[in-house]
Amino acid sequence: MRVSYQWLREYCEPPESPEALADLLNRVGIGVEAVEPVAGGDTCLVTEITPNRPDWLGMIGVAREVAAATGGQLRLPTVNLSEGDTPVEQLCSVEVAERRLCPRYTARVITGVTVGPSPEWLRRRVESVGLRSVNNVVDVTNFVMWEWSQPLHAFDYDTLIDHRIIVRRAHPGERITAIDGSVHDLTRDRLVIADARRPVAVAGVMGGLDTEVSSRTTTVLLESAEFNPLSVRTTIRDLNLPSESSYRFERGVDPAGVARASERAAGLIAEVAGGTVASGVVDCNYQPKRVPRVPLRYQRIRRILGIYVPAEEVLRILSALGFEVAKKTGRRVTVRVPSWRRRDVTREIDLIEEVARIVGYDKVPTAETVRVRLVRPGKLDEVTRVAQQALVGAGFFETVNLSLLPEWTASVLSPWCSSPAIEVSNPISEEYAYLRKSLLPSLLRVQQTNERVGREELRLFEMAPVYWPDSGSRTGCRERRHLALLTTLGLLEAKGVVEVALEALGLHGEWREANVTGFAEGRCLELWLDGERVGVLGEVSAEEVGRFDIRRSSVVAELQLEALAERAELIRRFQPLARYPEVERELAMVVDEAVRWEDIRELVEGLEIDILEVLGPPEQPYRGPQVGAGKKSITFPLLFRSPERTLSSDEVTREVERIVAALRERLGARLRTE
Amino acid sequence: MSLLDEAQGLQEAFTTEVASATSAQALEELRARYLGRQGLLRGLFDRIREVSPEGRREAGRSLNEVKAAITTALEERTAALASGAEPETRPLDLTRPGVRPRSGHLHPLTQTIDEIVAIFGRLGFSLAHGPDVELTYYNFDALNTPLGYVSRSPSDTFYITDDVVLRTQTSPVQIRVMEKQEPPVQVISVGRCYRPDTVDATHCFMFYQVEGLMVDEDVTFADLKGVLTLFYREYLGRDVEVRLLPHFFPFTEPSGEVHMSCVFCHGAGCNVCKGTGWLEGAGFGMVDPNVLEAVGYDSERYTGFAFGLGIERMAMLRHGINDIRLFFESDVRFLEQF
Repeated sequence: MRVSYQWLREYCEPPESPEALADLLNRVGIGVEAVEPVAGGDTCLVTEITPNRPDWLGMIGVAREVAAATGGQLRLPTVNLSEGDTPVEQLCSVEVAERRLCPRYTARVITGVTVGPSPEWLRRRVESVGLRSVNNVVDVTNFVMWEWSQPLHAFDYDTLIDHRIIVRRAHPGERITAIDGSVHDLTRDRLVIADARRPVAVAGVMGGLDTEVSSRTTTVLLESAEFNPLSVRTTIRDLNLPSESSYRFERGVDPAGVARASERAAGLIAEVAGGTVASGVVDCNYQPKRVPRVPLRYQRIRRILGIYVPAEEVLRILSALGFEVAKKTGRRVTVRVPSWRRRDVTREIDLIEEVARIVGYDKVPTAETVRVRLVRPGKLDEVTRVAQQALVGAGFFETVNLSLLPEWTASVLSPWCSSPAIEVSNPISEEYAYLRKSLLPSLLRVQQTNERVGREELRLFEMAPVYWPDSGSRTGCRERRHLALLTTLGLLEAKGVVEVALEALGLHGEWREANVTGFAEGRCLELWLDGERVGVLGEVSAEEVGRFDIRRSSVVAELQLEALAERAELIRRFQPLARYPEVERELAMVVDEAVRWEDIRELVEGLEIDILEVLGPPEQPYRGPQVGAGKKSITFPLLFRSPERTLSSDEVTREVERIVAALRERLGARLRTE
Repeated sequence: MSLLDEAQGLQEAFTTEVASATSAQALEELRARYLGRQGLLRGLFDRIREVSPEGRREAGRSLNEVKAAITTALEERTAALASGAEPETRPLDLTRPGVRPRSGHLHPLTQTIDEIVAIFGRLGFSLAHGPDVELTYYNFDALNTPLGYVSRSPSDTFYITDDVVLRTQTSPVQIRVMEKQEPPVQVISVGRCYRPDTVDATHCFMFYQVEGLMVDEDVTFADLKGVLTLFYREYLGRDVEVRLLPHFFPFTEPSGEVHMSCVFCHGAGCNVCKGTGWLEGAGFGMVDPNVLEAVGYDSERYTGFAFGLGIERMAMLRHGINDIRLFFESDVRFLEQF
């Protein structure tokens, strides 16, 4: 809504400068986005109105606020209307077929007009707010709309068949050419203004080209009406036909103001275009509502706002805003709500907001202290933080990726949930139409993004919700928080990082080899905790590499954070430091290729050697001519220690020999040195 | 030059040479050269006869001091070499860059969230959570936003079904919290929200918000002003100017919006603040009595305030990031900057 500074001065005393006016308007809640100079030394303030105040889409509404805030006077324009002798009912008839969609329709007729350019004052007003001057009649309708936030439309009376107006739904197959030249096919959803034969306007939105006021017009039918906001809104959207009128109808016009605007406009038309206003007004379907009354207790103001506002000031403010006092006592006042505020002000709290706005939010003191409550972070939040730190400490970069994906991405690489992904019924594009069930596809897309800019070595992670369909949930969706990571540095590195994170959470999981769709065969593990599968880790399959268009297979892992949080132990228990020294030995054993570290570890642990404190980790296996075909050499350390005494070398050697013997016997191993 | 001056010079020369001696051999060579039978110090001793008879005793004592100093330094150096306390023998170019261990990075949004949660944590607000996929009832109806309200239209909200939406704000968490407990309530909530915005430099259809709610007996607008002002000063710095201007939300009454002085141009006007010198911040207000009644709170006895703000905007202001899409593209060249 554009407010001309010079024009506003007709109705109130604004502050000295447009900038000061902008400041005042901001302080009462009319947001000023820009202050622009316009022709003739005037200035235009561009305001952004909140949806609850359609009355601010008119100059009077804005002037009222200025008067209330400054304590000045509001000057309403005088209506100069002298009506002729012919009753308007003889000249036209109105029928409202859709009573709910059109709560009020009024029509006046002005005969003998001369349509031409507007007088200079009118042209200046209209142009100062960015409208185009069309002709004197049309400009009056725009002027009055801008003054009262009440859209009007002028028809060329002689083009209306039978001089009849019918407010009805369009018939299928009907079509209209709007005044901006656009052509629209109409359906039953559209409310139209029609004459005896055809639609002549899209109700509340735009008039038709055939019936517009032009230089040939000699008689004007003036429409002033109220249309249902929702119906106007869908019309604007479906026909893509927004206008200044529709903008106001969409937000709600004042039903009582319809008649006043009609009088004002008729009087002005007669003034600038000549002619005679027919006597009376055709007024259809209007059911005036009872004036609502709202009480306000003065002490409630202090309870809500935290300041005391004297009763006289409260009364002054409410009066200035148009709330008439119906009854008052020392403790409370009851006011009548003016017609242009009926949708917005219905309760005591709404009146308190009015008082607060005009008094000024800056007048309310700022509390210096806040009452403090003891807070304990939730376990899932703590676990999230610890896991984040562990990953960042391992050199990983945290990513935040979009929850919505295209269909193909949302349905692949989903180790947890095989149901189809939840679909958004009105996505902004097919690219963002499905909620992700796993974080893994997003990470692979991130890999592709980064490869394209030459970053091929990647260590990434994300901690975010995933969404599974669940008929047992009230929303049909079950949300869980997951942690996923991606690394290009190998499976064992990924495994190590996960183990570091688990350790930070005081957890010991069990890795099991698995075959999971999307992962390369023989290169995939599941993580189990207390008999529950809580994680998946593996190398991405060649198929997925192709599908995601990445240059090489990376290793990805995904863990369920709630499951980890349930069991996490965040407080470390101290282990007393060893009193006696360790003895370290190393073994290099040659075994068949098929023998795995797990086999060696299980075997050695099965020997239950008390003094063996740590076994491994093994080095990279060696393969080569020295070892023989089909064989490999695994070197690993052994750490021996007793909690009670210093071990002798012989003791340790004895146990090492036991180990070697067992490996030899059960796994066919031999010492590398043999 | 006098004999004593020469002795002084000799000691200095020795000090320099012994420091760069890196082997027993080198030290032996030094010892021989300075303290040996044919050595330099010996030569000085021989020239004591040049000194006048009165000064000879003085000269002798000084030369002996030099000898003692050299001997001590030699012994120390020998011991140092023997114990291996020797710095690198290879020459080292100290101007070479350091070898950095690889470091990870928390996402700038996480860093922003952590800081914001910490600020409110200090004020006694605990952290609550709510789902992204939310009942229309919690996202609108319980928040006093009736059917037909413009924000409920499909152009402003993602619908899964008529009854289930992607939450457009974190405010539904207020309802969930209040349904589960009696007042007093003092919580914040952080999470993803969704609106069908066209994606550009300042808008994305997914974004993070933080929501705050405080309900108790005798909570007023003054308390709300206090919390907001405190937060903005903490996060943006003491010299940020904060204005609270009236606004409208269906679930608060009275409502407002924070406007803060533009941190880029300090009020002079730039393209970030579109020349106004001010930026929009949090929405806030006193909780509408309808909202309190809907969760079974007595709106006569209890009052409360709520506020909400966008995380991306805060992070963009703090770090000078000019494009919101960067947060979600996961380009490591962006992530590694934070």
